[in-house]
Amino acid sequence: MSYYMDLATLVGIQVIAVVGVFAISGLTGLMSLGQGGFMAIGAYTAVLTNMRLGVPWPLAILLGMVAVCIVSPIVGYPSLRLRRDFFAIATFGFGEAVTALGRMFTQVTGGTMGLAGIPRFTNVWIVAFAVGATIFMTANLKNSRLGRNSLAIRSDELSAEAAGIDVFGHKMKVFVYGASLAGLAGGLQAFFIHYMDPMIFNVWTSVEQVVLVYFGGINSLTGCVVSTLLLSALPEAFRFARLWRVVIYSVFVVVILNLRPQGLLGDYELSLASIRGALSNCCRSRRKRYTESTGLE
Amino acid sequence: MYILQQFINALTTGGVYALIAVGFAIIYNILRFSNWSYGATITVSSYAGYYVASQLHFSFLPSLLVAMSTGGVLAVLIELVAFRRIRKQKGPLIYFFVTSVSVSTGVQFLVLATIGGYFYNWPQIIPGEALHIGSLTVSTMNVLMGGACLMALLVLNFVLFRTRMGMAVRAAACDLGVAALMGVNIDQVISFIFFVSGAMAGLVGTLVGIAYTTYPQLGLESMIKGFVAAIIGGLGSISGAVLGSMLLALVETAVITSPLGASATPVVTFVLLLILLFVRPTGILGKSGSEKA
Repeated sequence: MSYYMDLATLVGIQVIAVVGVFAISGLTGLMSLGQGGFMAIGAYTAVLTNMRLGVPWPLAILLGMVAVCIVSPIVGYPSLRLRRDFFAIATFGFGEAVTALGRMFTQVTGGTMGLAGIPRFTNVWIVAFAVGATIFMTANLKNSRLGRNSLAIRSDELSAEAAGIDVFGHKMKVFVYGASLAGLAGGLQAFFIHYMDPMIFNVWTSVEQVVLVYFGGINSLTGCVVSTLLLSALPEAFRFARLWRVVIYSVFVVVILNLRPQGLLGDYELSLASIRGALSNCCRSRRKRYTESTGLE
Repeated sequence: MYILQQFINALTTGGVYALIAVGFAIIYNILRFSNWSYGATITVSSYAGYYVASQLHFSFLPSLLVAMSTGGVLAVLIELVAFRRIRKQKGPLIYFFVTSVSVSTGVQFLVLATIGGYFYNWPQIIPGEALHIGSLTVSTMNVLMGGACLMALLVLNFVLFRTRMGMAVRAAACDLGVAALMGVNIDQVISFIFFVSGAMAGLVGTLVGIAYTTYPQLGLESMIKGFVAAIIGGLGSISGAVLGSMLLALVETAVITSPLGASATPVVTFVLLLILLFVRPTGILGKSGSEKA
């Protein structure tokens, strides 16, 4: 039982990070390969303030998020003005720089030997609460004016600017939002896995999260959550095939991107309206038979 | 004299980076995306070369040829399986990148799952003595790397500028659609450039495998270096890729021999990369393309 709770916790943490990437890459179309760097900043700030300065852990995680909120505008200010490809490269450079800095300052971070003995504070209920809050916030973001502005920017930046959207300011807001979610995920993860070293949060973590968003469908928040659940939890079930599961995972992704480029769930969103619609669809056939047999409307 | 020695080392490392960066730049020129499956090709061809060198006792040149052909064929296969359909459906560029990344991860773990994560030491297939010119030591490895890179770049230059296929490649790099209208068989051209970039990957895999042992992450790490070098030099141009690689190697050697030490190398590299991107995002020799509205 505890194995499943641990699995759920890890998957939940991944969902938080992926939802952040959804806001940045899915909604706004910015390819950010530096999320790993933000996770690292959030994680190290949280752990170091807790372990060395004795800050209580919820505050420590919040401090981690604050640190990310301070760093991300500094990163974003020069890079968000670049073209799409170069923004990806700049964030990639930032992520690698964070990893390299972490490796260099051995006294502070433990360098390549890592930081061990981090107390475990995260449990499945905290993560579940965080996941719920994150999805709630992002769903509201998507359905609001901010979300529509993001979609406009993704489709055509020049037209969005011409329509009166402050493209740079908006991109900055979304970038900071997504980065702080990554910081939250990083902090939660640090207090869950007792060990941390700068190589955990590398570019492949960021890339994997972007792949998950594209796999689930860039238009669908439900899609990215479902794809994270599927591709993170399912391979754990095949734990005996530890390395093959990644191969299978990659094959899945390539197949979906080739044969169904709109992603697994396309535009579908799970919401009250869609649940009601599904329910009424299944009741509709029963109602139809009733009205046909009795002639009543 | 010490500086000259380090300079020579930097040049040969730069040569290897140049091969990687050029292989990258070729694909970027025509298809406009960063092909992150390049690392997978390097890894697999390195293993192929190692296999024939150690199990079948091939000497250097035949192993190299095997590695290069494996790389070329694998690259063409990857293009057919992963990229062709997206190109035909005119999908956005992002999808190429995401697919290439998945291919890269998949192949790396395939290698890990089937062969295992050991570090394979190549048998001694190159002469081991070093040349001594005055007080400088030039190892055969250095000579080999430098020579191979020079040869490869010269051959590439010849193919691109003196053959029909090269002309077709340059036309496709200019504008895919118009080249097709002019009668260029785009599918053939794309398969050709993937083969060329795969062959270069084979060359890189062999050289790096001999110098540093063969292991599953070999391709990925080499590719990141080459990627950075290509960006520094400018993603759109091949001479830029070479220039960027030399600069990268020089900077790295300078940092390693400086008081900062080897651990500061990635930090300095990426900080410089970031500064460069903000000052001149198209790289040193890159063409500045405007984003389509």
